[in-house]
Amino acid sequence: MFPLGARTIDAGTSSAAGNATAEVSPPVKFKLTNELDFGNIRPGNFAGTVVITPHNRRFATGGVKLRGSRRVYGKDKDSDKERNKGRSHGQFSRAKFKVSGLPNTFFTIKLVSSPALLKKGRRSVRRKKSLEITQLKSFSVTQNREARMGRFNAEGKDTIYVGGTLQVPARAKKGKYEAEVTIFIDF
Amino acid sequence: MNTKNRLKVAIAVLLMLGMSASSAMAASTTGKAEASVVEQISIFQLTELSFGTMLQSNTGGTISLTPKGDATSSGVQLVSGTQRAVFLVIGDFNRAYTTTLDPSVDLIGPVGATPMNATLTNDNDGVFFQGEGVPILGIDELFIGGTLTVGRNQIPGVYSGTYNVTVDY
Repeated sequence: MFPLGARTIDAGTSSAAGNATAEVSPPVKFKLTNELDFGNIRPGNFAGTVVITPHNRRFATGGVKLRGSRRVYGKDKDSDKERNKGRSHGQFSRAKFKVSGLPNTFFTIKLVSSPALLKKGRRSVRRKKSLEITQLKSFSVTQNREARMGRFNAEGKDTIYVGGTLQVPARAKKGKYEAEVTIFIDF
Repeated sequence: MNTKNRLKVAIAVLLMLGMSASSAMAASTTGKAEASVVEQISIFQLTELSFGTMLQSNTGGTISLTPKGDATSSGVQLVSGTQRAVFLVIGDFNRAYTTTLDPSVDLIGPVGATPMNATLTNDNDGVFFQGEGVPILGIDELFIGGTLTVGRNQIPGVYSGTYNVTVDY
């Protein structure tokens, strides 16, 4: 007796289809459509503050008096119509940023301000006479609340309003002051 | 032994066999036939390959994802996680298998967008480990990664493609 040999029924081959995916997101874009403007104020013998809320309300504390009370932009959300209006003496406004990014995603907001420097002529500034901007606050339209968080809507858009507090020392020097407010978005 | 000698020997053997086959003497023997059936090899996708979400880049770049799941990017910024592909392979525990993977896959995006190409790699150890309860059943996990090339100013949107993976004893 001898074996004819072992045979195997080969179970062969099997294939499967795999899926591969990727998503390209539009880059985050900012567009400043309105600057933060504390307007015209009159410093007093005491230090004080000027506050502009993200809802575009202005008020003063301490020795600071407000001059003019006309808001550049009212409560309306669609302020673009008013963008091109000339600013008159005493106007003030919250900052407005239009941002765009990946639809339906949340993002965090970080706001940083440099000191507001006294301008002299067109370019020179005097750091010793600077005013501090503090308490920067943001309001996300899609979130409909004041928070350090926003959300790109289904079209990948949101609008951020920014307010802040200007610290005005006693007998601050008259002149025009300018600062840079930087907005960071992280998601 | 040279070629000529080998030829002579072969002829002699054939002659001997022929003589035996032509013999009129009766003889019989019993042969034994054996067969074994092995587990059919099969493969299934458990999780799909994802190169994640990236920001559009004005330089273009690459996203590399190893079969172990480690991701790196160059020229583009990832904003959400990547995921290697996982396939389940089922077969005979006592057998090794080989894997054949499409070398690359095109990921098709929105209308008008240039497809993105990804080269593919896999771990390919080809070794089953024993399944519980069924001694001959072997199972293995096959991991697949790749390198995705993202174009300059790639049009935003979701991109997807299909590739084939084949396992064979």
